[in-house]
Amino acid sequence: MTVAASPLPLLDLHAVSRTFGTVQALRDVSLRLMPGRIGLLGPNGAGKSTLLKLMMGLVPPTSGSGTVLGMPLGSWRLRQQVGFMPEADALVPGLKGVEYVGLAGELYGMARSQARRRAHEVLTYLELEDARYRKLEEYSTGMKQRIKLAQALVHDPHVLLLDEPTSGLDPAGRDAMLRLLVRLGRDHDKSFILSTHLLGDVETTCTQVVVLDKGVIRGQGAVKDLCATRNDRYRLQLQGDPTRFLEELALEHVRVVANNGRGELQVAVPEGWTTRAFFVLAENHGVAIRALTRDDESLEDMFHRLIDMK
Amino acid sequence: MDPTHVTTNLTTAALLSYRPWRGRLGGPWRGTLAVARLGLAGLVRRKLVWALYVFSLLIFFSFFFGQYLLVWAGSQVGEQNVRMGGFMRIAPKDLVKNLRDDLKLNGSGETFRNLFWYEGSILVVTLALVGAQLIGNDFRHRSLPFYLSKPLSGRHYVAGKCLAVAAVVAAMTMLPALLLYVEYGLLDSWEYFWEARRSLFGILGYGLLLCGMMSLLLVAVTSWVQKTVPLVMVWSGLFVMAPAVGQSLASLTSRPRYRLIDLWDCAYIVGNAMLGTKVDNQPPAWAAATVIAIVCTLCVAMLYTRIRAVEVV
Repeated sequence: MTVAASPLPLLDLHAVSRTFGTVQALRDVSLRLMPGRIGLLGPNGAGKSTLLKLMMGLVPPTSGSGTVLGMPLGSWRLRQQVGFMPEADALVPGLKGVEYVGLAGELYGMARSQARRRAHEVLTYLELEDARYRKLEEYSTGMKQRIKLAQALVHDPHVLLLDEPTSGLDPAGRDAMLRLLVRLGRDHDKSFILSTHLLGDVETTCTQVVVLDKGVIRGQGAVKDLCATRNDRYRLQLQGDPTRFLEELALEHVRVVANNGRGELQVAVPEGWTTRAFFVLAENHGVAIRALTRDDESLEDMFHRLIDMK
Repeated sequence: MDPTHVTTNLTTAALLSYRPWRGRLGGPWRGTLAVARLGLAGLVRRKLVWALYVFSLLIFFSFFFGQYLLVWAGSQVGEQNVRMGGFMRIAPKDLVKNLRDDLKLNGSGETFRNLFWYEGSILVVTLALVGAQLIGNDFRHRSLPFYLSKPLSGRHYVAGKCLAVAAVVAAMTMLPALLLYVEYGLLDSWEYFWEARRSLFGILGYGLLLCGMMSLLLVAVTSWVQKTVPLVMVWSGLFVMAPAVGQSLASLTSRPRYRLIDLWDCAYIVGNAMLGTKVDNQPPAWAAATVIAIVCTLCVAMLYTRIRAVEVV
């Protein structure tokens, strides 16, 4: 069930809104996403989880319409093509790992024997084979996150919807989870939408990003396209006493944006400035430039720029 | 290089790599059966359930062997009258028949009605003690998003849970009653199966009514009170307090309609109507059926609200 160059958009929403009482979780969201590794970014209460639940058909839109993989929102056939990893534990107490994943397979519509066999395969792939006969209550946080991914993968879906998959994990566990997601996306053609407020997770795993704030899409596209190219910003790494060098830069109208005091600077240069000028000034004041790079906007800068944009 | 070593490494690599699955997925009702089976599997693992089921079997066996003994006793006595005490004569066959009719162990509708009534007491206790595990746990441990993010809708989930409860109800009431029906037919004559067909339909009707009513009620109540102690308290209110209040009011005012606040009695009245047996000082069957229908509708409405709330959270 691999999706090979599917012409269908992964998600196509037209003016979708969703309100809960007086709270408007999503406002006139129109969004078209092609299959791929997509990060869904936004602060708490931005509407990320509502968007995922809407895609799953767990909540219907108050207004507007949309499709996921060409199927209307809320259709049960759509949910057979999607694997959902919720943020909450959502475990069934009393079950062993393999029973839990097998049950998920049956709930997706697999025959019991197939579901059980597939559960063993997926648990082995996620390196949980030693824990598969352990009760879920005995699982560590990292194991719980992995078994939640296993239950989402058991029916080999086209798309994974991942709600905070690294939540509660230690750095090693987080790295392992992110590596796993990259592998699934890159090597096994799985599309996923990763909802998180951890920018690093998106930076590591995703090629596209959607920024959501207060129920409104603030930005959407490839990470490198969204992050602005800044020809007037540079990062410098210096060796030697930079005092005179910095004074000279100020005279040339070069603004120091950040200086960590250990020879690393971020500077904004005036129009017409050439990088050669840095080397000339450095040579004149006895400073060696060890590194010089253009300071393009980072994902974090881009996120803050879009969120602050009202 | 040792070729076995290469093979082992390849096998390990194959195991650790992701393998696509190419099969056909069934509809959401397959998931409903999985939910029901999971619920039942959880119950049969509990010793308490088996202990209560033994009590239920004791009631059944008292009917089963009582019926058997009386039929056997009837076949052992002669046709002629026997002198008793020097001044009266009795017919042993009539004596056994009278005893059978008085004890209602005669394969009539009353036999099955009584079985349902006595088994009901054990059933109510069992449901009160297992409800929290069967349904309440899903709410307490936030497992519901796990179920509802699959192709199942809330309707399928509730159907699965109701099926599990209905299986328990049927195993404690309808199934023993059917066995009793078959037993009496085999002991009496083949004609009994045809002549007492009303009882058969009554057993099925009464049994299905209890399955539907009790499963909906239990699933709805446990979606609201998810722990055993509060559930037992609510259950006691419904099946101990309400009958006592209903009976007292009916006696004080001489108005049987007050018995309608006793849900178990309502099912009993409708069950009697299905089995074709008479009950005294009870409200009409249509009124009892209306009460059951209203309660079931309220349960469905409550479940809709509870499950929607979980979906949204």
